[in-house]
Amino acid sequence: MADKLKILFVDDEQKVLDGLRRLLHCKRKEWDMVFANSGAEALKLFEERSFAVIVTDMRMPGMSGDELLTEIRKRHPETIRLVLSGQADKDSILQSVGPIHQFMQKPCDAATLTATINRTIQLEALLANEDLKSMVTELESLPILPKNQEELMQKLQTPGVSPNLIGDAIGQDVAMTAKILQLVNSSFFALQRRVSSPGDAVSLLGLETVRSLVVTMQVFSQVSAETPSEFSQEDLLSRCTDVAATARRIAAIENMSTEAVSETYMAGLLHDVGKLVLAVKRPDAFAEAVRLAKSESLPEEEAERRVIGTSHSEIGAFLLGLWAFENPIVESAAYHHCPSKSNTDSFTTLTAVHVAGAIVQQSTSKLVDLPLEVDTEYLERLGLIDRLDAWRDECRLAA
Amino acid sequence: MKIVHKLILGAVLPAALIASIGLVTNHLTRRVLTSALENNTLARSRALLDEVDRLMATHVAEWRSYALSAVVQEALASSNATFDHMSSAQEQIDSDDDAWRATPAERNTPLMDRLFSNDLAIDMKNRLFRLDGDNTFPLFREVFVTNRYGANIAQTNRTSDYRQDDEDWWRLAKKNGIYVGDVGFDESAGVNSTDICLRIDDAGGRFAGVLKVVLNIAEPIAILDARAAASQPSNAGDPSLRYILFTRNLKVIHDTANLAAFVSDGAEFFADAFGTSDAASNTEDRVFHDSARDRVTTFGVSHGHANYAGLGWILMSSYDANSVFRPMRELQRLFLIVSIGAAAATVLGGGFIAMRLSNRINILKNAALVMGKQEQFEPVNVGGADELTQLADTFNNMATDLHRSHSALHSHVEAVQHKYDMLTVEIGERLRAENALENQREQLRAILASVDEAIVTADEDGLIHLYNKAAERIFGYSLDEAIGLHISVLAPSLFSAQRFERLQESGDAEFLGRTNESQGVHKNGASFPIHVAATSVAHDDQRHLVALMRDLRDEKAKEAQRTHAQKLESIGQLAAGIAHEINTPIQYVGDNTHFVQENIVALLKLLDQYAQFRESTREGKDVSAQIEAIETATEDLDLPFVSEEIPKAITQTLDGVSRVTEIVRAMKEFSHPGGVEPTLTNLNNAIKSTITVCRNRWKYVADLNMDFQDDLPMAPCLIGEFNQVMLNLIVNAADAIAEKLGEGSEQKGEIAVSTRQEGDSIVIRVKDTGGGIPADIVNRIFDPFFTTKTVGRGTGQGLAISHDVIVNKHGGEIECDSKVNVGTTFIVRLPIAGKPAAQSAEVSKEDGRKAA
Repeated sequence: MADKLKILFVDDEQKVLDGLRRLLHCKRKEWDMVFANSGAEALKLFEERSFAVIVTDMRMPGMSGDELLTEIRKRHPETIRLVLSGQADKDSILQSVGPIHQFMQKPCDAATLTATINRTIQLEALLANEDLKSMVTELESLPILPKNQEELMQKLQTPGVSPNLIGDAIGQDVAMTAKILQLVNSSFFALQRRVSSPGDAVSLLGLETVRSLVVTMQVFSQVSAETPSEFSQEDLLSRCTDVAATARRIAAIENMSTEAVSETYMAGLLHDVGKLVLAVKRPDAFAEAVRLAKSESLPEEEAERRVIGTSHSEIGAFLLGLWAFENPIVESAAYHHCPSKSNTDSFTTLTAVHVAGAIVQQSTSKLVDLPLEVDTEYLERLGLIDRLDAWRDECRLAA
Repeated sequence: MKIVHKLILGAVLPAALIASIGLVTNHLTRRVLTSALENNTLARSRALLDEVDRLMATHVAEWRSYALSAVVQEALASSNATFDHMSSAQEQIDSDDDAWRATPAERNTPLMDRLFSNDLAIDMKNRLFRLDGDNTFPLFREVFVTNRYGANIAQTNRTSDYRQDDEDWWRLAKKNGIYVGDVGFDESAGVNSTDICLRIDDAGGRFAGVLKVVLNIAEPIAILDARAAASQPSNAGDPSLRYILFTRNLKVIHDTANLAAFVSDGAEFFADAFGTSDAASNTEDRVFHDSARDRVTTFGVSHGHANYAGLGWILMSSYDANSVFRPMRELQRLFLIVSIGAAAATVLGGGFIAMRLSNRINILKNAALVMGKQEQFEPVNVGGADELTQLADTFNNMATDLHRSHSALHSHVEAVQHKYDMLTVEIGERLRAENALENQREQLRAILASVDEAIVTADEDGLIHLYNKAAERIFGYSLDEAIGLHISVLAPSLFSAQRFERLQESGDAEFLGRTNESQGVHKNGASFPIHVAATSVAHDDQRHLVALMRDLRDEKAKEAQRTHAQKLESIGQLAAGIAHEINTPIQYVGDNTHFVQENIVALLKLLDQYAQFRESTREGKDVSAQIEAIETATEDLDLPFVSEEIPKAITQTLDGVSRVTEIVRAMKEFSHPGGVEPTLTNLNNAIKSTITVCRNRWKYVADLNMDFQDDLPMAPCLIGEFNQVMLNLIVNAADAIAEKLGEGSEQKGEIAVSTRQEGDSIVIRVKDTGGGIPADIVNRIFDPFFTTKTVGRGTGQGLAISHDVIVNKHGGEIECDSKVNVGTTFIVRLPIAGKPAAQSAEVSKEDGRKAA
């Protein structure tokens, strides 16, 4: 089969490679698997052919895993970069986390390994074009609003500051939130439990680690690219926090569990993260899409599709999936404009984010009597159309 | 108070008085003037109102007399008689009234025509015409009369209806004799008017009818305007007077400053002035001085005239107070200037005289002050020719006498003073010497009390005669208890009786002139390690023993803690590495087991299918479906792969399990705490475990060769501490190689560990191919806290502790042989027989350290 997924496994321990080869032998019809004993060998293989996914060990003699992935990010940005490592030491993992999309901890059972790789295949379907894909895969961080970063720095230098305060400071910024949750959830912490708030992430990592991540390793470093003038990062940010708060409220009204409510908040905050990617990676095209949407009164998704070939929804979903975010968050990014494309039939995080987006749009619009732009077909299918007024009233009250 | 101040005060007081009188007078004048002005204005308003009242009264009187005239009386009598005789007068009036109101304004009914043209009507028209006379405006607009039934009997103009007895004015006039209506503005006529309604009685005093005349009030307004105009230009800059006439309901009838204000609500003027606009309260004359705008406003109320009750109108007069007070202010200013001038003149004149007097008195005073101090006396001269001049002469005579006797006394006193000074100096010197001695003693006592070490002195017999605070604390005896005790009580093994005998005989003993570690004994019997430095001192032909003793318990505890901390540190560093070492085999053990499990299940299933196939074949059934199923299953299974891989998978799994087992065993051995006493140990095994445990630390940078002598004898060893030493040496070797290779290098270095028996010792060598240790620091590597590693990589304690463990705890040796760029070898020698017994009891510290 020509369309087998090409995966490269790298480990200095031959026995580990043997074990993987045997374990994944049953996948041979879907996956085309190659095994390499060192970073140098892996790079040599890449010269002959390309791989959709690479899974590598971290500590190896000669070239270490993160050195290898940094090199691959440079030469083959479209390859999805996963790590399977036996390291148990938090600091050394976090130090090498830069070029890594997701981290798996040895020992890793067959189910987790195949699920993680399968998920990346599903993501592949989101973006058809290699070019668009590599735009996201080569990304290490997103543009951070300078004032948010300064505030975080200041708080980090305050003696005796609480993890929650640092979490709040990070939570103000879409880019910082996405990055720190990636760090926590894509590393071995994920084994313990899913983390869906920056405050929890800071508590889990510890203030010292966060400080060294931010100050020494500069994981929140400013992306130097200019964003187009048609796009205001600040406006996007304030809209995202509004949507997040509104979605959280709706989720609470619908009696979701505390964890799901907090996840819904994150989903709201990150649902437009694709716009940040576009603003950095395709500033001209994105600016044109914004202009087009305005001049022809097109929905922004439609305008983006015409100019770029895809929209911020798919790009955001791809990035979040790549960064190991939970499915409800990825789904909210993918379908927040057209929830009926999802195949759920009950109230989910996506429902909350979609409705919240419409409510925020209506309440911040300068036009009076703008109709609430919800997907009524979808809400009817879910049998929730009657709840709409209750949600809106509650959110208005809160505002 | 100085004389000059008094004099100046004398001048200032009258000046202030003059100024204040000026100010008070000014203030009073202003008050009187204001009050006079206010009264005057009020009186003027009243007079004006009276005039208006009188005018109105005159009009009323005129019409009253007209009502009594024959033409009115006769017309009324006739009409009343006619109505009296009607059987249904009221119905007739009603029907006529209806017809009246139904008739359009431009047409007249016959009844109207009759009422316009009868004798009375014609007489009234003539009268109106006459009364207007020379006036530029009509005084009255209309007049009409009703009979006692309220029906019109004559009129000069058409009334709105025929029946009047339903109107308030009609009833009030009938009841009170007169009714004066409110002021109104008739837009069609363009005039202001008020109604005067009079009751008419016949000769017999019976009610005969009502006369109503509509009075044009242009007349009183004309009077006001005339007055206002008259007062204005008469005197330029005079108060700009403003009149406002109000009805009793506070409607503005006329405002001389604002003609358009007619009939507007005037309540605001009253609210401004009195805080209330309640009409009922405005029945008295009032004055209001608005100091903010500097206006004086008076309100006069009309009280009628003679037996005429008046209209109750109110006249407000308002003028600008500023223009009235201007002359007075000028006067005020003049007054002030004059009084300030007078005051200033008084102060200046008085001040000059005061200064002059004061100067002359000062000359005298200064002369008196210096009189006693000067060798020579200079007579003073104050000038002038008054009482002060005479006083100065008298003073000069007296001073000359005084000066003479003073000189004699002075020379005598000087002689006495000199003797006194000599004595004082002598006493002072003695006191100082004594103080210095006492200070030295104090200092000594303080030093003795504050040092941390016990300082004890004893005589030749060993009896204590000096004992400091620290000694009290360390040994528990108080100073009083200790004096006279034998010093051997404090450290029996060191200061034994034999040693004291020898000391007395030869003047020397083992403990003199060196440092000793020994056991101290507390008063409560507890013994503890002490450090003792003892010397002997000769004093007053006597030999004294001086002993400095330090409690070693804290130091020992700290050392133990330090060893423990280092152990924890190395365990912490090892833990992550060990986890990694275990996670890797567990990964492939899991993968292989999973693989074997899945495929064994599939194989078993295939076997089962074969069994069924065999069964079916035997029974002669159709087996084509089964064959197909078997073929599919075989293909899915990939039998060649599986049959080749399953044995390998199992081998590797077992391999992995044994690796984990080995690591766990090594960990257990490595972390064995060991006892406080050395035990016989197989050093080869111990070193192997240590190498396994830290494999993760060296395997990425080096290959490790073990060259162990198989029949190595066991040696007594503190296993926990020995392992720590080996760990330090191996990790150091790995770090040295990593540093030399640099990051990301493909090459590896080599570590060689060997064990040998050489004579009475076991020799362990740890050799690396690292960068070596520079010659200038090789001597310092065993010092505590000496490190060349970056901060955070090590505490710098490793080699110092290793040295302590090998040399002090095992009686062995550790040395280092290093060549820059070639590598380093650490050599450890342990005595097979263990640490010499004599050494372990009482250690006299000598440096056991050797560095090559």
